[in-house]
Amino acid sequence: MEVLRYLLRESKTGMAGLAIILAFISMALLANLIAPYDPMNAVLGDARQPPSPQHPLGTDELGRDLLSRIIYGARTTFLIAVSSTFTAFAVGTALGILSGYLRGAVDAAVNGGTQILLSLPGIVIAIIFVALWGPSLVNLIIAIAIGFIPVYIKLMRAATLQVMSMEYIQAAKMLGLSNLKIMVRHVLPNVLPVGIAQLSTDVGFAILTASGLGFLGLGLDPSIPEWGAMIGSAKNYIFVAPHIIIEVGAVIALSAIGFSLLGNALRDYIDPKRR
Amino acid sequence: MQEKILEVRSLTAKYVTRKGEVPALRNIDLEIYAGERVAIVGESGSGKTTLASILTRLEPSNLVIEEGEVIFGGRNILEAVEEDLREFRKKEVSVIFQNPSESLDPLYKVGTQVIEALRAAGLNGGRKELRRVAEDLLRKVNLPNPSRIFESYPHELSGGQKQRVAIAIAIAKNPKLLVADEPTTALDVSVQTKILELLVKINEELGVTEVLITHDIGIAHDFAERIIVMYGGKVVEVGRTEEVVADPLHPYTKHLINSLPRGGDLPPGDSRVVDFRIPRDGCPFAPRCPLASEACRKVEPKLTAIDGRLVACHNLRAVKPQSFEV
Amino acid sequence: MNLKPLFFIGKRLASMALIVVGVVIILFFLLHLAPGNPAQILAGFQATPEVVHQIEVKYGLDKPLYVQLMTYLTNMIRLDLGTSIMSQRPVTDEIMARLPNSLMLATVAIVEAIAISLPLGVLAAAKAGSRFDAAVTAFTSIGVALPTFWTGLMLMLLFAVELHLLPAGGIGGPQNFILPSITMAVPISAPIIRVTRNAALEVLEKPFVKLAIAKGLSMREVLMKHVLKNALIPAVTLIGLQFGVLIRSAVITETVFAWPGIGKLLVDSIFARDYPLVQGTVFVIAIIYVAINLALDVAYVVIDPRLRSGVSTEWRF
Ligand SMILES: Nc1ncnc2c1ncn2[C@@H]1O[C@H](COP(=O)(O)OP(=O)(O)O)[C@@H](O)[C@H]1O
Ligand code: SF4
Ligand SMILES: [Mg+2]
Repeated sequence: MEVLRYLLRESKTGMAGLAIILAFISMALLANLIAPYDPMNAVLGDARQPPSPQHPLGTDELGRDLLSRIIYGARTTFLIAVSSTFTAFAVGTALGILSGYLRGAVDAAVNGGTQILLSLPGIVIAIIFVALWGPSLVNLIIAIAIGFIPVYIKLMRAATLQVMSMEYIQAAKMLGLSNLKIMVRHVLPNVLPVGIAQLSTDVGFAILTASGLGFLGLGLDPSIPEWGAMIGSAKNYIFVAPHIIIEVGAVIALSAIGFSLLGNALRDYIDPKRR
Repeated sequence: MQEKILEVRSLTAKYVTRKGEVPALRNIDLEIYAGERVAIVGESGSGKTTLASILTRLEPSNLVIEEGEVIFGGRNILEAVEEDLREFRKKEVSVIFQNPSESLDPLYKVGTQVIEALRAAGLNGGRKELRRVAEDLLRKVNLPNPSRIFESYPHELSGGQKQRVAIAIAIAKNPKLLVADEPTTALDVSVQTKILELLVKINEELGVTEVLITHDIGIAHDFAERIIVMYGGKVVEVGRTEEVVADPLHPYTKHLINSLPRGGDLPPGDSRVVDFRIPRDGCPFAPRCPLASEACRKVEPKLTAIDGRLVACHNLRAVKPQSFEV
Repeated sequence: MNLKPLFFIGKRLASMALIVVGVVIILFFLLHLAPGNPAQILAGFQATPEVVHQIEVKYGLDKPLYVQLMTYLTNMIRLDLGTSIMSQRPVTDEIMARLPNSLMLATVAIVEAIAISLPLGVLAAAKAGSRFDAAVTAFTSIGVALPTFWTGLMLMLLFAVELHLLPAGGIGGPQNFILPSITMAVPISAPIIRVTRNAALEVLEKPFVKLAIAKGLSMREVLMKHVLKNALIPAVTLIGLQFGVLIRSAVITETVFAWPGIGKLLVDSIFARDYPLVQGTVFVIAIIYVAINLALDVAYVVIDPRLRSGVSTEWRF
């Protein structure tokens, strides 16, 4: 709540980001109520129509209403983006706290793994993984998640190291609390805010990665309304029907901008220097 | 008296922060005379740094000057445009800060930074010539082995050495006025005295007018010919050093002198009291003043001449019955 | 003789070699544990078991995994990355034919990003709170969020298809660099601006900046000589952390603009199941990562004299 008050008072851009995100989420949730057409309904005679009164955003390569597909697409795309970032967040946070708390060999191993993952860019892992394992929903989520893990490990490890120097951790140790209890009860709540700011930014990045994969032809089955997959099939018609890729790309950009604005505002909020 | 080099008239300023406004200076009136050494004394938070930053026009961006004038060289420098300010900074006024470790750019050699000051002051010439001038300056501030210092990076020098470099940079332009804000506070006690001696020497040999800002009335006593005491953003007492120290008139000045460890037979002041909220109306010192009355809380005392001194206190008659107001 | 620096450099090189080996191993398993028999895929689904077996033998796929891995690693040390299945040419040749194109494009993009971001970040900080600052700050949030394929296609549609001002793709003269390099520079520059601005805001509060102003330097001199240089280290650090973004935009930009670089090579080789080529390309990408980080280590020391004598600074993280 304090965060909300901060955003309202101090950060117009953060509020704008939040508003964009909320708009997209409501759009996804209410898709069956607000979408003018069935997103799967192909009318081949109407293929690749530019925007018109019947189809405000035009139709896609199979004559399906683009607006409806974009609205429904938000569901799948957000599902992929949110699941992959939360997976990365959970794994990265666990590893980051463990390595910052335990130090020693665990730390060295985690550090080595992080370095390796950093030098093996997320997009490369994702391309290889999806290309070889097949573009299923789960595979997409895992593929995108892997690329985000090192960021969280680094962030959380640094935050943990900072928390470790606090007196209450020493006090908890003196009380004889188990390491696990200390990590969960005392370290985790203190490092979480850092991760959450990153989380917002990364949901946006995940949307970008998914659409990038779609562009490379590694999206979901093109019949499913998903923004990345839509990009993948639309790119073949870029010169014939540029409106498809322009519009879908703009929607992807807008949603990613929302997460990026909010993420940056949150980062300012938790940065003690900016307060 | 001598010629005035600087004159401040009813200067009032506040900081604007996210949490609200912080009044910093209230109706400051003061004069600085050509060639003198004057100290501005007051405890932390009394507005000394704010005042110094205005005198050198280096105030933080969140400071709002609400009222007043600062006259230097016949002009109100608060109204000066950027170009005039640059002339003023190139030729007339220099500044020295509290923390010598932060006063020098860590990424450039000392020599480069001294030469930069010489160039800005209008000295032309090749690097070789300027280097000779720079090393002379370093010698003048008593730095041993100037050519080695010239080639050093700031982190390779001690705090005292860095402060000497800062002084060398300050006198590179042959300034009329030098404002030093707590120049010795961050240094070891043994070094403090040497830096003060250096500042006195510069005043005496080069005739630079010097304003020293300090929270330590002992340092003010050792350095200055005249003392200006500030409290709560106000000037509360002004006078010749010997007189102010021997016979403080304002209750706050008395408190400062009583707090001195070497305060002789005076009882030590109550140094436990640190954080008093300063009222916006009436006398800022009222919450701590043993003589405070109802009038003190309501009416702001004006600086008043008394025995060749200026004091802002309602109860002067109690201390000095023969005083009169002007 | 002081052996410390040598020791330090040795340690650094060893850890970097370990990283590269780690990348190769992970990639190896990623490729070889994938569902489906690569030999079968290469031979085509109608191929007889004999043909498939021949292919397995040819590429050593019939040996146990660990033997294959050891063979690959030992060959790698001799810089023998195998033969491309698609072209039947050595992988090193294939890569060397493409690598310069990628390096040139990426270099141009990074130089553009830095040349724009550093001054913008510093200026925004100097004018903190102004409209200019607000616009720059908004751009930092928007720039990272634009899908690279979209920026690229929009630029292409506008400048190549509509206005016929610039080529739509391929390599050739300097004009071929303009659109792809801008496309790549956008996502890299946004975070650099942000970090530079925040660092500059802090530097602007430092007494040495006030002292520089007090010397009578012009605002431009103060910003360029003192603020920018001191804000450089966080910006340089960020460039290292942006490697993933750099590769992502390279892969997509090269695909959009049909730029014959290793990003495009990687995508093509994956689709063709050309495992040796995939492995070789990723190996080279890991080497580039290592090289960039070594270069940054040197950059720190060049920028900050305190690092030369081993005094740590608050900036480094
Ligand atoms: N940049 C700033 N922003 C907000 N308030 C400030 C700032 N600098 C100083 N202040 C406040 O202004 C008052 C005077 O401070 P200062 O001039 O630094 O006093 P001194 O130098 O005598 O210690 C204090 O209450 C201080 O908290
Ligand atoms: S005016 Fe009143 S409160 Fe203020 S110093 Fe004098 S006696 Fe004390
Ligand atoms: Mg001060």
